[in-house]
Amino acid sequence: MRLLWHTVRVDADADVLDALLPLLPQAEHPMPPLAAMHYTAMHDPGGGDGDEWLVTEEGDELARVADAAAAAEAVYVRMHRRAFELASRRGWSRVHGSTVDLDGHRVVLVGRAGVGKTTLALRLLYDGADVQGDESVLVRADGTSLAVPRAFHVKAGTDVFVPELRALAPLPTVEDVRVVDPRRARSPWVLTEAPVAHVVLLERGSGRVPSIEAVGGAELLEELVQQSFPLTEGKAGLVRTLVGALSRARGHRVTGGDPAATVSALRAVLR
Amino acid sequence: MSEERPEPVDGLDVHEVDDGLVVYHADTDRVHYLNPTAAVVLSLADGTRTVDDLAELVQAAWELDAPPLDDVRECVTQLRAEGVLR
Repeated sequence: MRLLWHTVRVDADADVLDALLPLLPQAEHPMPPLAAMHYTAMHDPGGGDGDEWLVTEEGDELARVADAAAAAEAVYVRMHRRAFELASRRGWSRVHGSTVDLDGHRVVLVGRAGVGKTTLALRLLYDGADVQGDESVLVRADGTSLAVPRAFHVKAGTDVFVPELRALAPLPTVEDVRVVDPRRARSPWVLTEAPVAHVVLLERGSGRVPSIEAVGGAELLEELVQQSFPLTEGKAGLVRTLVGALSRARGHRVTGGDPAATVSALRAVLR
Repeated sequence: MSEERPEPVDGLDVHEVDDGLVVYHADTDRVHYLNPTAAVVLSLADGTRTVDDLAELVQAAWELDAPPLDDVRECVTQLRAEGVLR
């Protein structure tokens, strides 16, 4: 499988793969692979306490865990860590946010956990937008962005605003969160690099119709720095990258609003 | 404060954005987001100008009726408290 600039091979017991693969729906990656990872995750009935799963990375022991789900999580976390470190060394910084190509504009939706990024991303997806990713996006100082491919994590209550999800039941779950392969709503799913045109800061609010106001670069930067995950670039490099990435982007704050009304409002702003 | 001549501390990484400045301070590993007034004050405070001088320059730059002395003084105090000016 692919994860950004890596190819990933996982040799594992079926129950580990059952837990892992729903989290890793495969987007089409236009960029060439630059590195490889190899993991194994096998039941080891004779290990340690007598009933463990042994996880290896490039042949070296990475973890011994109690069950298949924990083995899958160990592989998932480690492979993403390595993918993000390679991205960081190549000049990308990672921001917590959804990535949507809407009416020809690359839009990054940013907001605190639980504000409704994924619900809005799913509504946009079913309304025909090219939703590239729901959780995080890589940005570079030249303004280019690239979504991190991941299964969408859907919380309880999302179906009210995205009733199309009911047709997909039952969905696989991870720790009580349902995961959705975006290809079930829109296929193919092709990652594309594109300049960030708009950043939308989502905030909680009441009312069906959202309020929208323009925000300046300093305000955008403040929120994006808080929602970022600096790795090898450090905070100084992160700030430089984000300043460059946002230099040609417009920013808006969207407060409240149900997802359908917010989609309409976003389209109006982009026009 | 009127005779003091504030200046930026060392190690600032200053970035211009459309509504102010974004400043990374390596010594404290902090990021500061300066509004237009604070951005102008930081840009002009080079260790040679008093607060009165800064206020007069802000007055000229923004074509104000009078030097915004209280605003500039408060801004300098805040930037010092944040460790951006000394």
